[in-house]
Amino acid sequence: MFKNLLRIGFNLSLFNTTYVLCQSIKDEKLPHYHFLNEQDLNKLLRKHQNLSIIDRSYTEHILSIIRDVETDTVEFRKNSDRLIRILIEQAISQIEKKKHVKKSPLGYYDAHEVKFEDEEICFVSILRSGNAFLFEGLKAVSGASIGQILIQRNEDTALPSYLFQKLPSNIKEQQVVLMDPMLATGNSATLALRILKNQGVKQENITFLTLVSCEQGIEKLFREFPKMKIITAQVDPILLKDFNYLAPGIGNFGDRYFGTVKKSQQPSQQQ
Amino acid sequence: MFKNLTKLACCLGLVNGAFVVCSQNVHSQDRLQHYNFLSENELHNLLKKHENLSILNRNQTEHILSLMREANTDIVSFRKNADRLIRILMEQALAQLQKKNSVKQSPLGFYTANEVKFSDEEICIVSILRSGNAFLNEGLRVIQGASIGQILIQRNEETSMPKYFFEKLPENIHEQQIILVDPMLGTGGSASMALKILQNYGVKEENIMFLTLVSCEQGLSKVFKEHPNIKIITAQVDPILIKEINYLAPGIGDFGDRYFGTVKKHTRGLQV
Repeated sequence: MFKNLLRIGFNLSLFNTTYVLCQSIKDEKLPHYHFLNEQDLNKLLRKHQNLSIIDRSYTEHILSIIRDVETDTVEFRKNSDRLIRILIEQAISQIEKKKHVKKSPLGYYDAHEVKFEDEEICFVSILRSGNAFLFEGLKAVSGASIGQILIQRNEDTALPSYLFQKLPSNIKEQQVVLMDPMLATGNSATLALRILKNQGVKQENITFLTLVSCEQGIEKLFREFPKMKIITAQVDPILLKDFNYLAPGIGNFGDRYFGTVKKSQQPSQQQ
Repeated sequence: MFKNLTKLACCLGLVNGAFVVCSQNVHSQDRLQHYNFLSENELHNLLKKHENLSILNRNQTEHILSLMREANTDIVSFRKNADRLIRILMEQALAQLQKKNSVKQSPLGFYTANEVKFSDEEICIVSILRSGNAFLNEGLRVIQGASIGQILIQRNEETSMPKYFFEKLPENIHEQQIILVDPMLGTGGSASMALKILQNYGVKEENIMFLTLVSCEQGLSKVFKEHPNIKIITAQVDPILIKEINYLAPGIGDFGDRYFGTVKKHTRGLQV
């Protein structure tokens, strides 16, 4: 009997080692992407003065969870909302302020408040993914008006096609916050910005918010629209050429936030 | 001096009187109609005619709808009240989902538990863009793990015919419980189109609930005629669908424009 137990023990350990080996081999097929270091990021910030990257200490943890392919829909939404709220607060903090004197219970003080009313701020979301920003957006600025532009990327050509828009009629007088979770090639964002330009919106009045971007997309936007502002939570190092996806990226933000991920393919799409 | 004072007072009085009379004329606004809501009887008849129709209790909806309908309500109030009403509709939809029985234990003893049979992920909220998206805010607060589908249908302003633009639905939607949302049900054209799209994806009628804030008899009849097995839950049924423009009266105006803040300044909220 002892012999049999030994045999069983031996077989089990064989199975175990092969399993562990196979796991590690499987994982080795996927590359390990490293984020840009502080120097690279500083260089980017010096090159583009209208670019803001949110401090790493705010975003590391949240992005870590969002990037994880195992994260379920509810966690993904919760964490995306947190990050989106941080981005929106940053955008509002960069809007022009006016100064006046106000009174606290103890005495006067200098008040610096955003110069514009809620209604003078317009959130323009690039459907479908950009809509995820609206939930937190409306919590922060409850009276903002909302514009929508539907741009979908043609899967074969990777070129964006414009489908639909609904913008406030007085948008050229408003402070516009354009939103799209990912900035990869920058093609969709460029199309949206051109549409806004056609409506008479000035570049200086546009702030573009995005969760994850890459150098290529940022350059493209600033080349054509040097006066707008871009605020991003993190800049990813790589744009995969064949699919035009950010790496490590988040996957297809829209599918993950709205729960329409196709079960067959795991790492998916972007803009 | 006294004489001058009396003269002054007399003139002021005249000016005031003229002002009051003029503003009364303006406020009487005889040109605009006063629409009366359907009576309890008429609503009962509707409910008897369509057994899959639910109308929210008037006590819950009167106040909120009152504020939403008012043309002068500012955007923040409009959104707050719309969200409240949408939450009530969502809870009602969940209340009508199939439940399963089980025995659970409270700190004191066992009890019979009746819980919704489906997990969050098995529920899909399909919104008819653009206005339907307003439901997603409260929808995701109630059912945090629900998947979300979107169908973009816009109404051609001249022909009133719905035009399909775009859709993005979960691939396993035929296995899910669908909550289709659109704030207004006028002619029923857009809703019909969306329901046909869902059918093409293999969704069964019994698994669809359609939520709408304000509807009318015409729209309800059309949708039930084509899809008799779906459920419809509405907050209120308005008496009239104005023919030339196909808008509900008194209605809410264009819900999408009012919720998203894209109302054109000169048209005070016509459109649906």
